[in-house]
Amino acid sequence: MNNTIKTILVIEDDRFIGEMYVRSLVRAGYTVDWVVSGTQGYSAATTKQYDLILLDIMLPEAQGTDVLNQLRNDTEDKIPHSRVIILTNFEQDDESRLAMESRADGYLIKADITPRKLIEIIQQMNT
Amino acid sequence: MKTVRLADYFHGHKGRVSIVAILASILAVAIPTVVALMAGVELSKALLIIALPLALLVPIVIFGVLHVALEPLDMITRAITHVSNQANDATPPDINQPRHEASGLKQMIQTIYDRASLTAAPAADSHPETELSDSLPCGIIVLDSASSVIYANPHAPVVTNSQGVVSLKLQFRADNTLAEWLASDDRDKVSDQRFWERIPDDVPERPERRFFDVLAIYEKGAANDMVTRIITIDRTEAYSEEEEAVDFISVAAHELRGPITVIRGYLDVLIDELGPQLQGDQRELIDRLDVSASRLSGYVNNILNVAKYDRRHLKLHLQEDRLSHIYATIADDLQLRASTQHRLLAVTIPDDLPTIAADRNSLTEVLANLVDNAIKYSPEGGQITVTAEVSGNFVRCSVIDHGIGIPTSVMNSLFTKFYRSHRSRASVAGTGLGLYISRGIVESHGGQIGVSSKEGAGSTFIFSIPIYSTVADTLAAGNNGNEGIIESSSGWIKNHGKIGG
Repeated sequence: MNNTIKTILVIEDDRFIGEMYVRSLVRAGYTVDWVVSGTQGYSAATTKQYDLILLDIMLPEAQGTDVLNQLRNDTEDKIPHSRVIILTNFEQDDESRLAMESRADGYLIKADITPRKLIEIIQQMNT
Repeated sequence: MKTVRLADYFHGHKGRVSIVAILASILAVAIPTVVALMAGVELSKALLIIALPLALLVPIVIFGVLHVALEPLDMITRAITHVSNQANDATPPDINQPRHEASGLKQMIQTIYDRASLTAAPAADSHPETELSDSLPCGIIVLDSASSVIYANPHAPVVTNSQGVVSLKLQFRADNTLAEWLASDDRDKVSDQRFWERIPDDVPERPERRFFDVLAIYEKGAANDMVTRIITIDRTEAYSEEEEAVDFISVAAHELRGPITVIRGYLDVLIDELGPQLQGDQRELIDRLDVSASRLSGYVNNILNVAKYDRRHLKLHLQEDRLSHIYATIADDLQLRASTQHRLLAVTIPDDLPTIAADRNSLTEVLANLVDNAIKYSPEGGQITVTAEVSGNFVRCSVIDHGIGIPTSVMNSLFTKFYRSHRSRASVAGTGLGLYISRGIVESHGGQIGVSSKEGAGSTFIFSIPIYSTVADTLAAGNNGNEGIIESSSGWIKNHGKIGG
């Protein structure tokens, strides 16, 4: 389960933010795919194995919470080899946040996590 | 006492009266006839002159009189039979004839009906106090000494299961439940009261869920075993407006954080990619942008947290953590803030202090707010010191500056919402929310925050957070439920030692 993180899927609909993560992560040596909607994210996560998925919540077509529930729920785990970090600026209510804790490996506020901090976190997840 | 069938009474009575009337009519014929015979009247003439006419006339008269005389009794009996609870096939009397109205019989029977309707209205087991509680717009619930519901009025948030057992339908917060309170009162108190606000009756997914304010009154050994009396007031509509306000603030925060993410992120990319080529002053300009963006992010967090705190939505996830580790997550950020504004920031938080029960996410905001204030109110080149030490059951952290200080007159207002020092309004940017939310966060940890200051010499803000071992049992009992999750300055990561800042 805890592979060394090399491949990353970024599910992010904001072009500026998506390009920012891709640029920094690629520069740091990761292999990165980037998709811009919930349905594309689900499709990518289930057709290719990623070590880490960075998942936004406010996404077109399907919300990040729904994508995560489809990928990983009480009855099945379609991404057993992947770790998931919710990366959002959306302030969830406490109950929804707690509900996601069982399915995600992290929950970060984008405005507070610059690319440099994100890379540090990924490196620490590898140790 | 023998039960009398009311419907049979009149017929029985009429029969008895009729027999008497027949006997009377026989006597009425026989007596004049006998008298006539004794007076020497011939039998044939006596029969012809007295007996026969009397024998024909008397019964007619008697039955006519009887009918008129017994009619009121017939009607009254039928009316009484009608309003009685006895089964009967009697038709109600027709009281609307003018003669009954004139004689007063109608009024008499109407009185029977009126009296009957007055006494029939309340149910057999009805009590005025029950009617009163049923008519109130709030819920009233009574629990016995076993905490079972023994009474609930129609507005009470209760649910009845398939076995007919009634229970409270309220979702108390896990760390502050009615059951826990009752258990502790049962052990330690004779009488007590507690008030809860915004208690939902269902899970958030249910659109029909309602919110209640709840007052519980406990009295050990109360009469009729009415040990706990609970009053609930449905405040759904008032709270929905607040929910909408929080929703609005959440959406606004999301919108504000988008551009902040881009600004901070691209500055990071620029510093990373252009770093070596940047000249000293160019690097400083970029750092100033970076600090400003990070501050803006802090303001948004403050606004969001104040909105949640004021509406009791701010919930902390207390974990065992070290103050030095928590500070480390924002150390670079705060160092940059100090250096770009030419302040010296010296931090001494020993790594070997006892662990504390902390919500990293919130506590970094307290530290950032205090250091930020110290930077704002210090002169250029001024030193800011952050230290920490053990004080009783707490780890105490001090943020010391040598700035303008705080006049004694405004000391009490410092931690009030939107309070800004009269001196700061013109010269220093801010929202007046930082100290207010810092106090809210520290007190929610079970700690305290305070300040000592001398005008012109500087200020020392001190906050204390409970040592983990002193509250570990309480946290375990409260099922904090986040074992293995480490909060970062802006979220959490599972099974993770530390998130660098």
